[in-house]
Amino acid sequence: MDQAEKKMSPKQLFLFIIQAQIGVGVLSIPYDLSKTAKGGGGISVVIAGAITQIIILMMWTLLRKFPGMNLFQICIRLGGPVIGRLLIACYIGYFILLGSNVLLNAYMVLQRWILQSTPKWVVLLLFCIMTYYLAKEKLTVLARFYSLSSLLFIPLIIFVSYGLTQARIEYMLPLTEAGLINILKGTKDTTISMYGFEMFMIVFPFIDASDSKKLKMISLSNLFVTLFYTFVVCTCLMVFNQTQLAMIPEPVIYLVKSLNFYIIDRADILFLSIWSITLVCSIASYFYAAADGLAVLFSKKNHQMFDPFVSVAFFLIALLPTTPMAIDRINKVSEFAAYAFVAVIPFLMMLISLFVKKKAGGAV
Amino acid sequence: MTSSEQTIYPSLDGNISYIRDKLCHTDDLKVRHLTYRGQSSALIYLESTVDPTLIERNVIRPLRQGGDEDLSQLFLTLRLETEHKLDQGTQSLLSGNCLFFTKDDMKQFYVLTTPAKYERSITEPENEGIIRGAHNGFIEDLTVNLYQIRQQISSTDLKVHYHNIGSTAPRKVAVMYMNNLADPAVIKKVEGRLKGITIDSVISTGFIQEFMEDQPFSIFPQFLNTERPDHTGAYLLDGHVVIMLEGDPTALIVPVSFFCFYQTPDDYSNRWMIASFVRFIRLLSFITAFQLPAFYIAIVAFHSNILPIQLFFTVQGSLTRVPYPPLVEAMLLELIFELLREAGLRLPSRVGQTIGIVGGLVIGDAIVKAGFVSYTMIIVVALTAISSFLIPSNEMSSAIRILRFPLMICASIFGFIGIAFGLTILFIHLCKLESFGKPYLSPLAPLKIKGFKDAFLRFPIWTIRGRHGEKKHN
Amino acid sequence: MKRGRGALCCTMLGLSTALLTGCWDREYLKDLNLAYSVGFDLTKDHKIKETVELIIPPKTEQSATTNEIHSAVGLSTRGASNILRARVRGNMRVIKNSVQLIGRSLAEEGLKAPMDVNFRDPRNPSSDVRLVVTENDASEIIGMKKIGELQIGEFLTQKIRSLEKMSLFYPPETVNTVFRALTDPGQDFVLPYIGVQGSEIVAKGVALFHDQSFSGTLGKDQSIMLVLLKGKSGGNARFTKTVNLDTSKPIRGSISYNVGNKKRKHEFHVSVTRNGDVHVTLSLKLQAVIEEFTGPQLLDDKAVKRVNRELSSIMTQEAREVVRELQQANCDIFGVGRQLMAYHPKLWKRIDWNKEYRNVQFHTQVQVSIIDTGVIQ
Repeated sequence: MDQAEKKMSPKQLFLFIIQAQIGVGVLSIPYDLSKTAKGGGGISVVIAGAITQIIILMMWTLLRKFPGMNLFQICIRLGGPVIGRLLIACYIGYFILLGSNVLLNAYMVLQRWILQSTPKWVVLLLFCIMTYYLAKEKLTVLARFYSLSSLLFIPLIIFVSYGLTQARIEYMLPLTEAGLINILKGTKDTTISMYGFEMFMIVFPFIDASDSKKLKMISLSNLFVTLFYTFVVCTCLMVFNQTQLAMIPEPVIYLVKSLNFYIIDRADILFLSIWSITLVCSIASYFYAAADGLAVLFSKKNHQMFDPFVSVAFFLIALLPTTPMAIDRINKVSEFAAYAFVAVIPFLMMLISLFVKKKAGGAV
Repeated sequence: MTSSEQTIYPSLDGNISYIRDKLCHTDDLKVRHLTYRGQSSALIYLESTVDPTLIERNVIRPLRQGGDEDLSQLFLTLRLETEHKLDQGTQSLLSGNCLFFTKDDMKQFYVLTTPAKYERSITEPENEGIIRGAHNGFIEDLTVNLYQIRQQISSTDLKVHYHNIGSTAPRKVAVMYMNNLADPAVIKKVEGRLKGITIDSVISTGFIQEFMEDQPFSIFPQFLNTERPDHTGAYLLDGHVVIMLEGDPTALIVPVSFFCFYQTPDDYSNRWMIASFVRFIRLLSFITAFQLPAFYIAIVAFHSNILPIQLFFTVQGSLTRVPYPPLVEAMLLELIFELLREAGLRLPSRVGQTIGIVGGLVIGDAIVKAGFVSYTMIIVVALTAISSFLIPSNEMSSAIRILRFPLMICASIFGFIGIAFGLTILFIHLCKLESFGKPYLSPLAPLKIKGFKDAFLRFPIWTIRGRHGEKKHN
Repeated sequence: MKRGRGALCCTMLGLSTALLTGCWDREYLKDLNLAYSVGFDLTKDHKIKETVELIIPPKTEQSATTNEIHSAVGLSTRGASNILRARVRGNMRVIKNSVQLIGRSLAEEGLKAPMDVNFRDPRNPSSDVRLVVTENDASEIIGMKKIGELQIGEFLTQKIRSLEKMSLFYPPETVNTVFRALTDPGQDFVLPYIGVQGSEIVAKGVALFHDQSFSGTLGKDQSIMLVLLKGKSGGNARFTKTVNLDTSKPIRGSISYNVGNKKRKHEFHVSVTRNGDVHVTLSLKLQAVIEEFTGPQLLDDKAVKRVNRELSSIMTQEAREVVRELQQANCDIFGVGRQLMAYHPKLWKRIDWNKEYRNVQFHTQVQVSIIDTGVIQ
């Protein structure tokens, strides 16, 4: 490498986090939410966004204590070589699990809607090649591609907003039909769509901005994602009635399918093809995080040599579950893993860092 | 290379015979014995490389008339250098100089610059014609080319740096840049890579290009080449570095971004709205040029349900007699088109029209009648062909034409998802590409909205401030 | 070198996949035999009879397509399709059809079962497929094969679309909207209702549905009135009425007018009284353009005022009649139930809407004012 790893710009950080966060989940949150929160799904999403924001703040306080370090390096700093490495290994496992979970869900959606008879391994391979090709690069390339593919949100948003022509506000009312408790419970169902922002902990030191600017950008992207989800959820809630939502696991695609664009029929096929590109970004983030973790774990300078292993791991984990039950179990496991690795562990680390601050300060 | 150390012999004949030997007793080596200051001296030159009238008028006549004056007084207009290594002298004979040996000074000899100049006139390059603006173009002579650039940019900051590349037949390479505008890191890279070229001879600028590219395995050109001085000048003033080879009218421009290949000097002489529209059309052609056949294949083989119903029947009707799967059909026609294109390129222009007839009428019509391909496919391929020629840069146009084929294969395996796959890989690749450390896709990725003003569209010139934003810093 | 070999390997792999296996989801357009219009009927032994119109691509470029009619009986829609597939030539697909006919007998039985495959299979189209109820068997209509020069599917599509422009049926009821209404307890739907008269296919009005089954019909004028009452218009809504202009000299003149292409004022309001009675205010202000008037006098200001009054009362009567029939058929086309669910959820939970709908009190009022009399008065 004749060139030092350049840094991401704050704008790129904004798009990076958005891309990492918006994944396969958005296609089905209206469905997930309709089970618990009913018409108040939009409120659930907003609450989930607020909780995410709190976690972001917490991560930020942790990260800013260790300038120039990302999650993995902090793990080693706080936990020492043994516990730290163990923690990193856990995180790597978590990233691989989540990445392959997204991969698996992506496959499930595609299989249901377009590629009915294409074998699973082929679709997974396709995605693995794309993510591998992307994630083996340095972070700036990832950021460039992410910002480029952010342009794809424009047609996606247009497709979804076109659904508003069929919307009836009565379908969403009354907002609190399910009761406040259920709406709160609903926030739990959005977890799968919310995670992705923890990439922030990986890329934090590679951003060319002040700490407060970084926080501002990531909060903005969280705001964007929350608003986007709210928009999608509300649109779906207004277009479909509750009975329908309970039947349709991917209401967003169903919505696009039911639109009539005159130039082309069946916009859902186009929609999914575009969507699959933004999914690559989501998977690649986890891929990058896992590979980067491996590099830190084995004290290597760059992660290129670990990429094939991560790729194979993604492929295999996504290939294994075949029954809906098993897939559901993976979803559940990833959800709980997300709670642990996104909220609990960083929180503990933050607490520890508060205690050892003086000590660490002395050591440095 | 020890022989290059051979210094001058004490005797005139010794020198002459050495040079004769060195040049393998070639017949166009002329030796004229003259007298200078009363002593016999010799003027040696290669008949084929020098200008005879120049020698007659400026060398021989002064020698005859002027008699005994100092040589520097005699040859006022010719460049005169002294040299003592015979091999250097022999080398300079090849480039149109003549050597003058005098008896009284056997420690050195004189090299007189008397090259023959058979220059092409400065005409507009054929494949880069424009409607408005300067109609001159580079020629094979580096000095003339430099002159043209200097005329464009009369600035003291324009710096030219010569290199000699090639071990057996070295050729002069000029590196030009605006000292105050160009990024020093880029200059360093260019110079470093130029020095790193190890090759016995440079045949064309393509050699330099391949040696210096960041990613030689990429299908995309990472050098912009042009034969237009105004185009080159504009890039120089934008802080780019220009590389020119002696004997080649092509200027190589680095670093370039993808969008540079979609700009022409005409854009800046047109009114800005029109120019913006044209640029937009060109970028649209980027998409149609390589995606249209793939799109067609995907629709016909996978997603026929996205066609509106009337179109459905039309396309289906045209396909019924075609025995091949869409991929084969498309490949067939695309290859025929490439054949025709290549044939048209090689044929002299008078015969070239025949190609049009054969291609357009005979193949185009007959191939459908014969049932090999469908009419819709012909439309698709024709559109693709036209779009690919919309791209101003020939190299980019070829790159994009090639890209169709893998994308077609992807589309025929996975339909739209295959296209999405192909495009993703393509764009990841484009994101990875760097031209001398500058991102290839800028200002799109990394995203710089300000750069859009002169990349996708052409905003009024007064709004395009500075030099493409990202050039100076980072 | 190494990368070059890698690229080569990838290309070889790709090519071999392309040429050897790759045809998982491939479905060549030219091999498809499109079922352009489909009809479903209920047989006597409660099976589904599916009749399809297959479009056969033309043999040469310029000639037109031809069609074939086939039918089969099966346990379900897809079941019948599968039996049909064994019978027809080639690969019959229903990926694109523009009209699906449902025989009245099947409509009475309920739409959920026969339509299920339309909602479930992602390959089946849903955005632009019109559903139509036929007076007799759907197979009878599709069996006509050609109407004049047009093939039956094309004919039906064009007919339905032009009738939509005439506000006979509007907004278009497609598979999608029907899916939504079918699953919604607080909203019913109506479908175009067509029948055969001699050798012609005529629109009979609309078929009213309650929940999922056919429960009544409305005539043609009533259908237009229904569209207007919904606050919609397909572009034109024409009526021809006879008005009594002068009571002293009862010269009767007929008047044709269009209320569809001008701005309308539509008010729809659901209110609940304290004791739980549901009142619906349905008022409509129409602006009419006179297209034909055969009365003896000029339509001057005085006459116009009078005509306005007359027309308003006629239209109000008709509107009330429409509402009455809707209530009789238990067809909650206005979505009163949905309004209750959204704005009066407590009441909604308490009542049985299937019974209660008939007791809803509609306050219907239509006002017509002439704003244009053409180029003559």
